[in-house]
Amino acid sequence: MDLRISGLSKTYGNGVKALDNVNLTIPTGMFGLLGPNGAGKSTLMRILATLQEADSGAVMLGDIDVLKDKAAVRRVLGYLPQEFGVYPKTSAYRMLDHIALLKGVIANGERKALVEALLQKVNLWEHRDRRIAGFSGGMKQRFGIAQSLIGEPKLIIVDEPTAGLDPGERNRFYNLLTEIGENVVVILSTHIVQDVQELCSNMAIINKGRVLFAGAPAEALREMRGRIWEKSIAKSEFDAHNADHMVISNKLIAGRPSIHIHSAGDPGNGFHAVDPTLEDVFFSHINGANTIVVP
Amino acid sequence: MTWRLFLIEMRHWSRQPMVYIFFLLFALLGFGLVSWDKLVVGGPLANVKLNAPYMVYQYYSALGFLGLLMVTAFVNASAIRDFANNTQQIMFSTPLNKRQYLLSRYLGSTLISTLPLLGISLGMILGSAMPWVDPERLGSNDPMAHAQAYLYLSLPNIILSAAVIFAVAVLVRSTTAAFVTAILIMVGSGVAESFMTEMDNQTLAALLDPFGGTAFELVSRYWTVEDKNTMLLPVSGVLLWNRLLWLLVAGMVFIFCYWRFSFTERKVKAVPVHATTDVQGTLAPSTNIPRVARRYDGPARFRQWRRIVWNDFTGMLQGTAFLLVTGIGLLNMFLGLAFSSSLYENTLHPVTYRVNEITEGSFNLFIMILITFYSGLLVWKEREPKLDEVHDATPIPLGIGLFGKYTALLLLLSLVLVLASLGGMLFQLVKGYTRLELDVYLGNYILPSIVGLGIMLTLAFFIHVLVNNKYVGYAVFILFIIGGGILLNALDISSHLANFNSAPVTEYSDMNTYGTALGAWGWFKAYWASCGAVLMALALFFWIHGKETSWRWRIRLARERFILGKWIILPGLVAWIGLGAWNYYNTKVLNTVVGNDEREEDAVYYEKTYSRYQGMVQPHYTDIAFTIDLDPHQRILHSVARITVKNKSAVPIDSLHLNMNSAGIVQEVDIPGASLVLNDERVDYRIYKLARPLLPGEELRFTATADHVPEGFENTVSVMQLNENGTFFNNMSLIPTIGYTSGGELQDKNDRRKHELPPKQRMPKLTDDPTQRMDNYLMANSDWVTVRTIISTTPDQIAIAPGSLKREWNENGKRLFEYVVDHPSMNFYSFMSARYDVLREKWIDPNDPSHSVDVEVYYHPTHAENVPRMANSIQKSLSYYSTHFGPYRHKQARIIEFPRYQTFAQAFPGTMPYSEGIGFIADLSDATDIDMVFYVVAHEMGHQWWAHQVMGADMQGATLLSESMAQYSALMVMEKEYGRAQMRKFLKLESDRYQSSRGSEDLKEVPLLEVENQGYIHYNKGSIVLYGLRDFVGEDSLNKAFRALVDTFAYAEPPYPTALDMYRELKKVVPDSLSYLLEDGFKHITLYNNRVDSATARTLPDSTWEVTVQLWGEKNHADSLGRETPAPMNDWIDVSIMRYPKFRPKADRSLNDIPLLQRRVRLVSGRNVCTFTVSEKPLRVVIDRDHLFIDRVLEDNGRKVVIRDHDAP
Repeated sequence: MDLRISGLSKTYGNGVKALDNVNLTIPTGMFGLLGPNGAGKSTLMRILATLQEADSGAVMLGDIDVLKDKAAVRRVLGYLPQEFGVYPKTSAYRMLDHIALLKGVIANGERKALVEALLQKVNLWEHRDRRIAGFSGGMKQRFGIAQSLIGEPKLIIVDEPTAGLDPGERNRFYNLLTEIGENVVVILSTHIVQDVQELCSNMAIINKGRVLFAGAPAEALREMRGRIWEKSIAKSEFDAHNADHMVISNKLIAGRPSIHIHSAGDPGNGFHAVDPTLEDVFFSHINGANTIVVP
Repeated sequence: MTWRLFLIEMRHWSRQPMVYIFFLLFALLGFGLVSWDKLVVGGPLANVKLNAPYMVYQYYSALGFLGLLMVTAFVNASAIRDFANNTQQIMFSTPLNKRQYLLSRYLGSTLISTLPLLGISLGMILGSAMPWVDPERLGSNDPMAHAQAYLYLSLPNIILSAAVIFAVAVLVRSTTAAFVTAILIMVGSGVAESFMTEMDNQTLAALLDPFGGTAFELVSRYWTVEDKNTMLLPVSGVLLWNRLLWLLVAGMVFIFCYWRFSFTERKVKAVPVHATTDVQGTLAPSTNIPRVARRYDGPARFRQWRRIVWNDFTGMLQGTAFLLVTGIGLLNMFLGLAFSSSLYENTLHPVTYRVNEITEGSFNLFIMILITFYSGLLVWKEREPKLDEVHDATPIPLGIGLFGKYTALLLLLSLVLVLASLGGMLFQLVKGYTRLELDVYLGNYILPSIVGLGIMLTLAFFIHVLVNNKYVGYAVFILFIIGGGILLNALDISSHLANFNSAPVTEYSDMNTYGTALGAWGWFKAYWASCGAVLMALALFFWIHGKETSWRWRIRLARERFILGKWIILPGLVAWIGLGAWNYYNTKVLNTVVGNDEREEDAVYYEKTYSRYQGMVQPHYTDIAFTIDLDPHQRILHSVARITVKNKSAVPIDSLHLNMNSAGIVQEVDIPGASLVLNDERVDYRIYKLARPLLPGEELRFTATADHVPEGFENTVSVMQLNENGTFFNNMSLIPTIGYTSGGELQDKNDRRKHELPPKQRMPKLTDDPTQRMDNYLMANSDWVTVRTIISTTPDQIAIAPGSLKREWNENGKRLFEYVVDHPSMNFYSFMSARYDVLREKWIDPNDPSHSVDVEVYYHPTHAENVPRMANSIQKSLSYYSTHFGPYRHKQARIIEFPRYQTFAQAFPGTMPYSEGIGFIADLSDATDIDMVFYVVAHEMGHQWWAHQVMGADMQGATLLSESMAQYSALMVMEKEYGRAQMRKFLKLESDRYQSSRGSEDLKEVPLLEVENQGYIHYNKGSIVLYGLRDFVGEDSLNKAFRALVDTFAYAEPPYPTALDMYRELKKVVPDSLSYLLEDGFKHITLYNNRVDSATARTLPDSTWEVTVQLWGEKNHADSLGRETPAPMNDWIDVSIMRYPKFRPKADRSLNDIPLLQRRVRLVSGRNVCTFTVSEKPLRVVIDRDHLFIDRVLEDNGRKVVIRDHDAP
C-alpha cells in the first residue's frame, strides 16, 4: 500500500506557506523526511495524520482518500507526534489501555493481552504501574511508540522521535522502528541526517514547504559524488571563501573551521575532494537550492 | 531596596489590564446603583438617599466579595509569579533577602488590589450627577463617608485576605489552594452572619466576622432613615474592635508566612529510575504483538463512551478542588441548617423540604463553582497536557469525547447532590427527626437539580468550545450567569421562555406535594433541555479536533459536520421550537404573562382614570348566600353568590361601581334591570346604571359568579388559592368590591413621582368626624353581613366555610356542606378544602357552664404534634377574652391548616387559617423557647374581638384597634400560661424588631395612635406600649377600658370607632400621675437612652449590702424620619439588683433570675443617684429589666456591681 501525495499545499492565516505543491510517493518501509526546523515537516505529517486540513491537493493511502475519509485513515494510523503528554496521575498501563480502547480494541481480554505485549515490547513492563509523568524522555518516547503500534497500523507517522534522547535511547528506539517498519509505511521526520542514513530506504528533503529531493539515500549520494570539496581554514578567511564558493556547511574540527563546498569541478585553492555524506546532500539542497538542479 | 522592589511590583501591576478592568467594573456598578433603579443591592429603601452614607457603606460591604476575588487573583499572582514562570532559581540566587522579597511582593500587590474598589466611589459620585436621577432621591456626596467606607470597611478586609492568601500562595505554591482559601474566608463571613439570627450571639458574631459586615450590620441595625442619610460610622465599639482584631490577625498571618518561607525550593519527590533495568532494553525483546479484533459498531462506541465517562469522573473525584468545594459546601449546609430559625427565634423541625431548600441554598454557589471549573477543565483535558494529537488521531468519533465529558460532569454533580442529601438526612437524624422521606429527597431535590444542571452544563460546554480559551471561557460563563438575570429584570421580561434554564417555581408542601406548577415546570424544562441539545450539537460542530483552530477552518469544518450530523441537531431544533410554541401558546395565548412595569402602568391608569369616583355614595353589602362548587383535583371553581346590598345613605343611588377582582378568577355579575355603561377590562372597572335609583334604606339583590377553569399551564400560577389538596381562598376572590378603592393605587412614593402622581397619604387622617368614619379598613361599602354557604368538594376532602355546620351530605359523587354564620360579621371570610384530620374539643364557658364553643383544629395527618397546643391556646384565649373583653359570638373556633405557599395565620370570623410552614412544623421541645404556636393562635383569637367585633374606621390608628390589641390580648394569655420570664424575652425581641425596622420605613414613621398599617409599629411597638401600660396601671383597670370599647362598639353599625375612642377610654383608667405614659406611648415616637453609669456596693455592719447606683436618664422624641429632640424626663423606671446564681436543682433554677430587689424609681434627665439595701452580695444592676420601654442601646442598661472595701472612702 503506497501513500501518494500530489499537489498538496497549505497556507496559514498569517500568510506563511507551510506546504507548496508537495508531490511524493511513499512506498512501504521506512521513509525519512528531512528538513530544517520550520520546513513544513510537521504540517505535512499532521495533514497525513488527519489533524490538519490542506488547502489543495490530494493524498491517497492505497484506496483511502486521506483528506476526505479521515475516519478510515485513523483506523489504520499509528501516530507519534513530536511532542505529547498524557493525563496527569495516570499509569503507563492504564493510559495504553485507554488509547487501545479508543482505537477500537473493545474485548477486555484481547486488550489486556495487547497492552501487556506492547509494554513488554517497548520494555516498559516493569514500569507499567508508574505515572508516565515521571518517565525519562526515552521511556516516554517508547511509550509513544507503543501507543502508535496499537491495532496493526498500515501507516505509521513519527515526528522527530529522537529529539532529546541520549544515544543509547536513540539506538533502542531505532531497533524498534526497523522491526515494525517492514511491511507498512513508516514516515519518520527528523532534522538529523544520520537518522535517515541509518534507517531509511527512501527519503525526501523539504525546505520552506517544497520538496527539494525525493529518492533513495544511495541515489542522492551517487549524484553528489565528486562534487563535495573540503578545506580547513582560519576563522578570518571565512568571509572571503564564502564570497568565492558555494559553502554548504561549516563546522569546527579541533577548533578550526572546516568548510565543505559544492562544485562540479575542482575548485583548487587548497580544497580536496571528499566522499559525500548524506549530510552534504542535505546541506547542499538546503543552502544551495536555487543553484542546484534536482534531476 | 524594599521600596524599590515595591515600586517595581506596583509598576508591574499598573501595566496589567486586570487592574483597570476591575476598576471599571466597580465604577460601573457604583454608577448603576445610583443612577439606574433596576440595579439594587439589598432591599430598596424608599426614604434613604441613593448616595447616602449608609448606601456607600452597604455597597462597599456587599461588593467586598467581588473584591475578594480580585485580591485573590492579584496577590496569588504576585506570590507565585516566580514559581509559575520558573524564575525562582534566578530570583532566589540574587542577593535579595527574605524581608525585601516578601514585603515588597505583599505590599505591592495588596495596595494595587485596593485601588479598583475606589471605582465604587467614582461611579456613585458620577451617577449622582446624572440629569435623569430624581433629585429628591439624592443627598450631597459626603466625602467622609466614602473615606470611611474605603479605609475603615474595605481596606482592613483586603489587608487581611491578602495576608492569608499570600501566605497560602507562597507556602503552598498553588493557585487552587489560594482560591480555596478565598472561598473559605467567604464562608467564614457567612457563618458569622448566620450567628446573628439569635440576639444573644450578636456581639460575638460581629467580632468574628472577618469582613466586619456583621459588625457593620450590628452597629447600623437601629439606624433610622435620618441616621442612614447622615450618620458616619462610629470609630469605637464593636466595629472598631472587629477591625483591629482582624488587622492583628493579618499581621500575625504575615509574620507566620515570613517565618515559614524559605528561598530554597521545596523538595520534589523523585521516584528513582532504575538505570539497570533500563539498560536491559537495549535490544527490543522480540515479543509477538497479538492480533486483536477492532470494532467500531454501536456497542463498541458505547463501551468507549462508558470508559471516557468513568475516566473523567474518577479523575475529577480525585481532584482536590472537588473534595474541598464539596467539603466546604457540606460545612456551609450544616451551619445553614443549624442556624435556621423562624419568627421569635423559634426552631422548626427539619422537615425534608426545608432541609432540601437550605441544602440547595447553601450548595448553589459551590455547584456553580464546580460547573465553571470542571467544564473548562474537561474541555481542555486533552489539549492542556498535549495529549490531543495522540487522542485525535485515534478512530474515535467526534461526539463520544464531548458527550462522555458531559456525562462525567453531570455524574459528578449528581454525586454532590446525593452527598448533600445524605448530609441532610444525617442532620435530620442528629436532630432526632426520623421521618426520612427518600422520595422527597429524590423528587424535590435530586432529580429536578439534575435536570437543571444538565441544561446548565450544555451552556458551559457550548461557551467553552466556542470561546476556545479556558480563562475567557470561565469569564464569559460567569458573566452570562450573573448578567443574564440582571438584564432580563431590567427589560421587565418575566417569561421563562427568555430566561435560560428557568421554569415555574415548584414548592414542595407536605399537604399539596409538588403543587400545581409541576406540569409547567416539566414543559419548560423540556423546552430548555432541547435548547441544551441544540447547544451541545453546536458545541460538537465547533469542537476542536486536530490542530485547526482558526475561525476560517472551524466554520468550514462545522459546515461539513453539520451536513453529516444534521440528524442530531434538527430534531433538537424542531423540539425546541415546537416546545417553545407550545409553551408560548399555553402561557401567553391561553393565559397571560404580566410584567411588573405593566402592572405599575395599570395602577397609574386606574388612579388617573377613576379616582374621581372616590368617596362616591354606594350601597353596602348586607347579606350573601354562596353556592360554591369546588373540584380541587381539577382546580375548578364555580361560585354563585346571591347578594343583597342596601342604600344606607340619605340620598338615592343611580349607579353601581364595581371592581371585578379578577386575578385568574373570572367574575361576572347579573344585576336585574341594570345596564352596563362602562366596562374597562384593563383594570376590570365597571359601572352599572340601575333600572331605577336605589332609594335610601332600599335593598338591591343581584348575583355574582366567580369561575376558574384552568386552561393549559401558566408562566406563574395565578390562582395559588386553588390546590389539589389545600384550597384556601377568601370572599374577595368571589365577589366584586363596590366603589373605587385606593388600595389599587401605586403606593411607593418614588414610583408615584416617576409617574407624576401627587404624593399619597397612606391612610386618611385620624379624626373624630363621624362622616369620615363610615367605612371600615377591611372593605369599603360593606359593614356587618350575614353569610350562608353551600360548598361542595370531592368526597375525600372536608370543605370549610365560616359559621356553624348545618348539614353535610353526598350528592352526585360530591361531598356537600352547608354553613351559616351565627352572628353578622365583617365581610371577610375564607373557604377551604383539603384532606384533614380533625381535633375536636369543647370549651366550656367558666362564667356560664351551660355555654360552650366547639374548638376544632383541621390539620394535615402528619402534622399532629403541635395541634394540642393550638387547641389549648384557643381554650385559654376564649376564657381570658370572654372574661375580660366580652362574650364570644360564634359557636365554633377553628384553626385550619393551609399549604405553605404563604406563611401567615389570619383571623376570619370564627375561623383561623394557619400556614403549614410555621406553627405546624415548629419544634417546641425546648421549654425556654417562646411558644410561637400558642402565641400566634392567641393573637388570632384576639382578633375575634379586635377586628371582628370592634372594627376601626378606615383611617390612621385603625390597626391599633385590631393588631396592637390582638398583640396585647395574646401577651396576657401567654403570660398566664408561661410566666413573666417568657414575656421579658418576647418584649426584648419586639423592641429589637421595632428598632431594626424603623430605618426601612418607606414613607414616614408615625406615633402608635396614628399607625398606618405599619407592622413594626402596630405589632412590635404596640406590644411594648400596651404591656408596659398594663404594668403601671394594672391589668384590671386596663381591661376595664378595653371592655368599655367592646361594650360600646362591638358589632355596631357605622360610624366606626377610631384610635381616639380607645385613647379616651384609656385616659379614664390611667391616673394623671402616669398620663405621660399615654402621651409618650401613643402620641409621640418616644425613645429612651437610659444607662447605668456606675454601681458600687459595700457591706453594712448588719451584714446587709448597700448598693449605690448612678443612672443616666435620657428621653427623646423622634420625628417621622427619626430625627430626635430631647424630651424632659421624670419617669418611673424599674431598677433591679441581681443576685449571684446559686447551684440549685433544675426545677428551682429560675430562682436565680429573681432579683434581690426590684424597685421603680423616678429617673430625671441626666444624672441620678440611688441607694438600695439588699440582703445578699449583689451581682449586677439592671434598669428596665422587663423591656417596658424602648431603649436605643440595651448593652449599657446593666452593669456589674463593684464591691468596695470596708475602709475605702
